[in-house]
Amino acid sequence: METKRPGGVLSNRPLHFIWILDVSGSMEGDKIQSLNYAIRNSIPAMKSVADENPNAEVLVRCITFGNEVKWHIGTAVNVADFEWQDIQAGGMTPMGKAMNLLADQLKIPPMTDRALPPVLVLITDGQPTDDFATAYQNLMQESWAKKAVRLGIAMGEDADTAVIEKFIGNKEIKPLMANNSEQLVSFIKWASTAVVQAASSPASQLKDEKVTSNVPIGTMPDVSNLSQDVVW
Amino acid sequence: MWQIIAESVKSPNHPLNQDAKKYFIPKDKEYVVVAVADGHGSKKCFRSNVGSEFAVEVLINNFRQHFSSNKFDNLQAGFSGTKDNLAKTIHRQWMEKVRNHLANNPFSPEEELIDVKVLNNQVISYGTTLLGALIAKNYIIYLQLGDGDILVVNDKEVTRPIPKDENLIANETYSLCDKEADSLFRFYYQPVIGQLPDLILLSTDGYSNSFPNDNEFQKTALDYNNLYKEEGMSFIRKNISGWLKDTTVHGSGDDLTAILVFKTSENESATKRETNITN
Repeated sequence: METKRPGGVLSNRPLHFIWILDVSGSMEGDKIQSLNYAIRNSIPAMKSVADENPNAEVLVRCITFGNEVKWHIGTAVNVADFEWQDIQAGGMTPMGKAMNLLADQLKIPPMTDRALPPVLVLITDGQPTDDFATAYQNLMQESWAKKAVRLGIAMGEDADTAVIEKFIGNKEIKPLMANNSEQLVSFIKWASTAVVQAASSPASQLKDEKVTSNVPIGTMPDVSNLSQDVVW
Repeated sequence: MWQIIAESVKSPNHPLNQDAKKYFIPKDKEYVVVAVADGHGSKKCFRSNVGSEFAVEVLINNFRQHFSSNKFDNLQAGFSGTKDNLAKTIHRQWMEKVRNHLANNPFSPEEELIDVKVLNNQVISYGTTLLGALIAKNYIIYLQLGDGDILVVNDKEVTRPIPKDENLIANETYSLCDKEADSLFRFYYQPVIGQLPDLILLSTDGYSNSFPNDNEFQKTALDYNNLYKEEGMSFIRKNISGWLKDTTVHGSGDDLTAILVFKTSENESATKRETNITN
């Protein structure tokens, strides 16, 4: 006898993971090479984490801001099919425009109300050369921006950590300070694995808990056993 | 007049099922009361399986008492005050149950270490949503606190007596453990003029989150209604656990609970005696 399950087609829940990358002129050389390497290096582990969480569909995109602000990877790609395309550095640091571009994609629609909290990772080595404050304010009008896990990685000592802290907007999550390639690899791997793992957990949370994020992301990566050389 | 199926399956990702369900049909079958609750299951809400059981119990008891004392009769014009009192009573009684449970079962040393905020406000560890309905011959009352879904099938049309709350995204929800929870209840009082609904479906959010959109989810209610008419109650009862397991495994991965209330004629009713079922 036919025992067809009631209901329409089933679907796991989308988990949007978005890189927001500074590709300004100051990133040229070792920094941009390290960033390309670190992201490419993180992909296998990210795929493994996604495989272990069949109830979440991890979808990856990437914004770059430098000579222009654009979607380097504009179509959300299932991490199983994700391949990194190298980025090039050049130009200013229009981080505010990047926030505007991000905000457009965090509206409902194109987002759905049943998604898991997105993971937004900002990586920069400098400070905004446009109006970041207004753009950030606009971004945070979007429900999904508020609910997102927002992380920031500072590449080198010249990065404006106050801006990164503003982007994160959570006193319990500090900017990750990467002073060399080895540390950057560690941070990017953590963001794309441990954080994705936490965000794909379907446990409910109390609404409007102000102190902590609605995703318990766990302990930040410890880089004390890595090279402490200040290269950048 | 009514036939009820209540089923719950555990998430493949959770150590225990934090949802709860309960229903009551009196001997005279004048009305039925149904309730589901979704214990939050987050790290802080480590006793939410207990909290959800308390929630459905308190709701069922309150609906029964209010019905017995005719407090819901002729309410269309004046439901506002009644619903406020009902919300306050449910919230207060749930809190009392939780505090009693805490008094008899203090946090273990391990539980004390989980979160300092929970240690200072231990009720949080019992956090849960609550959905319910009282279905009488001439009115239906729906109630909801937090996420979850109530669908109603009339003929081939599916409606939501309580609309989705667009503020509840990203697994965030209102909760009975909130100090102001009584102000967050939503009610819908529906006088029944003509036909009662064919089917009323209450479910925790693990069900709707297993579908890409609301249209695909609403097909469940239509399909259950068709299956009831074409295959009968026993067919659904036999298969529903497997369907729900399949749904959560290939969908949300959350605990998943559903109560189905089917309208039937008096002589079709399989309920021969007072029924009060938990689990």
